[in-house]
Amino acid sequence: MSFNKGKIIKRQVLAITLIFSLMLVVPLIAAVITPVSKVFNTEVVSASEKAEKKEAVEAVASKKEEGKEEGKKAEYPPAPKLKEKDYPKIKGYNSRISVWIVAQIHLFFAAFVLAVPIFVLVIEGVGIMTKDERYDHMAHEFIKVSMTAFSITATAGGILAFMLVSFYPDFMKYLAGIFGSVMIIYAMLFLAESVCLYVYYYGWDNMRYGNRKWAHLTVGLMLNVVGMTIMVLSNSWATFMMAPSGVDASGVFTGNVWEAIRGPLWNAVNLHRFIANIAYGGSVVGAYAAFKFLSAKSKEDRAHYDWMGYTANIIAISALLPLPFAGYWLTKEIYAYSQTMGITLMGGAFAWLFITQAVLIGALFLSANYYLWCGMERIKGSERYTKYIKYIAMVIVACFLVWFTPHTLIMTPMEQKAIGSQHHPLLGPFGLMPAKNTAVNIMILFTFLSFTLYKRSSKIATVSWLKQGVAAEIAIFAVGIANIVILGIYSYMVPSNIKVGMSVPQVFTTLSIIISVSIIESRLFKNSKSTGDIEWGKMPARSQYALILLAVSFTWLMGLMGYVRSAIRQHWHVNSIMRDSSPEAFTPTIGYAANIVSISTILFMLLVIFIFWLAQFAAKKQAEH
Amino acid sequence: MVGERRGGMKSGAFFAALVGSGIYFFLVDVLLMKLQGLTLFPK
Repeated sequence: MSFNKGKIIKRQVLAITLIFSLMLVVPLIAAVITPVSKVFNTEVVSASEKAEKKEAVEAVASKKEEGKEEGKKAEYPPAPKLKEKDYPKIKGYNSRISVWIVAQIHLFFAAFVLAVPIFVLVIEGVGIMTKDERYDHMAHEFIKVSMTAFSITATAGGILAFMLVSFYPDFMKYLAGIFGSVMIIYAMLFLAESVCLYVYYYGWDNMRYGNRKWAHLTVGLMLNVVGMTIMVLSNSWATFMMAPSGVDASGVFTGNVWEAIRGPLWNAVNLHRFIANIAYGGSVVGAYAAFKFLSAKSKEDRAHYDWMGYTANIIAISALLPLPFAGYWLTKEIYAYSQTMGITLMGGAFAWLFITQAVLIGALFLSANYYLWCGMERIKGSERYTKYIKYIAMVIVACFLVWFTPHTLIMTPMEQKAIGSQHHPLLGPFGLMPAKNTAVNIMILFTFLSFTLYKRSSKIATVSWLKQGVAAEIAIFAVGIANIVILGIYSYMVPSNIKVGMSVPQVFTTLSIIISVSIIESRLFKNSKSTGDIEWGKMPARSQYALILLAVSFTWLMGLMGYVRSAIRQHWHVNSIMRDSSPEAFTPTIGYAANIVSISTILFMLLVIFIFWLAQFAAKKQAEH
Repeated sequence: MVGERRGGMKSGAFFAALVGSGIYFFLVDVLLMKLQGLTLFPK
C-alpha cells in the first residue's frame, strides 16, 4: 500500500514538474528564436522618432516609385478637407447623437449574436461527448434567444449605414474608396451567416442524432467562422479610423487593401472584442435564464433555468478573467502607436471614465462571485467551504478599492492644501498602474478560488495524496501571489519602461497558478465521491438579480469603453488624416457621454426584455375556444 | 507514528512546492523581462 502510495506521489510530482517545465519552455524558446520587438512590440518609440523613421523610409520609397505614385494619386484621391457646410443637416436630428446611439445598439446586438453561436457550439459538443441530452436542449434554447436578436442586429446595422451616408457622405465616400471591396465581401458574408444560422437553428431537431449531428456541428462551425470574419472585417474600419495604415500622410490609398486592414491596432482589437463578446453574450443569456427562473411556475422549470443561469455565469466569468489582459495589450498597442493618444486615453480627458470602468468591473467581479457563493447553497457538503467566503470577499473588495483609486483627484485649493499635494500621501501610489495590475491579478485569482471551492463543494476526494496535493496548491498560490505583489512593489523603484514590462510576468504568474492548480484539482478529484445531487432550483431570488446586474454592468461598461476607444481620435474622422469639421466634433464632458451611453443601455435593455418576452410568448399555445 | 509520517509528507509536499514554484516564478520573471529586451535588475 505504502509502496503504491509512494509511486503515485512520485508520478504526481513528475507530472507537475513536467507541466511547469513545459510552461517554462514556451517563453524560453520564444526568447531564443524571436527578435524581442517583434514579440511584444514593447519598443517604446516617441512620436517624433517614429515620424523621423517614417519620413526616412518614405523618402527612399518615394524616389524609387515616383512614377508609380503619380499614377496612384490619379487613381486614389487624398482625404478630403471638409468644411462645416459639407455636412448635411437633417431637421430634427443631431447627427452625432443619432449615429452614436444607433451604432451603440447595433454593436450591443452584434456582440451578442456573434458570441452566442461560439458557446452554443461548445455546449453542443459537450452534449455529444457526455451523451447528456440536457446540454443539447440548453444549446438549442440559447440559440433560440439569439434568433430575434439577429434580425434586430441587421436592422440596426441598416439604419446605421443609412445614417452614416446621410450625415457623413464625404467621409463614407472616402472610406468606401479604400474599403469598398471589403464592404462588398462583408455584405455577402451576411448572406452566408443568415444561411448558416437558419440551417443551424431550424435544422436542430432534424439533425439531432448520428452522422447528421456531425453535419449540424459543421454548420455551427461555419456559422462561427463567417461570424468571426464579419467581426474582424468591420473591426478593420474602426482601427483604420484610429490608426490608419495603407495610406500616405495626405490619405492617398496605396492600393493594397490588406495594408489598410492590417493596421497596428487591428489584432489587439480583434482579440479584445472576441473575448469580450463571449463574456457579454454569456451575461445576457444569464439574464434570460434569471428572467425565466423568476417567472417559472414549476419546480422543473426552476431547476432547468437555474442550471442554465449557472452555465451562462461560468461562460461569462471564464471570458471575463482573461479580458483585462487583452485590454492591457490593446492599450499597450495604442501607446506604442501614439503616445499622445495613449496619454489622452489614460491620463487626459478620458482618464475619469476609467474610474467609472473600474467601478463597473468591480461590480462585475463581485456579482459573479456573489452568484457562485449563493450557488453553494444548492450543494450538500458546501458547508465545508462557506467559512472561507468572507476572506475571499475581503480580498476582492480590497482589490476593488485599489482598482478604482484615482491617480489625480479633482480638489478645491483648500482640499489640496489640506492634503499637501495633488496626490494623497498614502493612497496616491494606489492610483498608479503597478498597484492596479497587482490588484486585478489578485482579484482574478480569488475569483478563480471561489470557482474552485464551488466545484469542490459537491465532491469528496478519494485519492491517498489529498493532503499533499492541497498543501502543494496552497504553496503555489501563496508563492504566486507573493511574486505578483513583489513585482508590483518593485515596479515603483525602476524606470517606466521596466515598470510597464513587469506586467507581463505578473500576468504569466496568474495564468501559471490557474493552470497548475486546475490540473492538480482535476487529479485530486478524479474518481471522487459525490456528496449528493446538486439541488438545481434551490437558489434564492437575490442570486438571479446578481445575474441581471451582471448583464446590465457588462452592457454599460461596453458602451462606456467603446465610446472611449472611439473618442480618443478626438476631432478626426481618420486620425491625423481626415479632420472632422462638423459642429459636433468636440469632446463632450464625461457626464454628457455617460448620459448618451446610459440612454443606449436602457434602449438595449428594453429591446432585450422584448426578446425575452417574445421567447415566452412564442412558446405558449392559445387555448381552444 | 503513522500520523507523524503523514504530517511529514504533507509539509514535505508544501515545502517542495514552495521552493519549486519560487524558482519557477523567479525564472519566469527573468525570462519574460529578457524576452522584452528589459532587465529585472537595472543598474
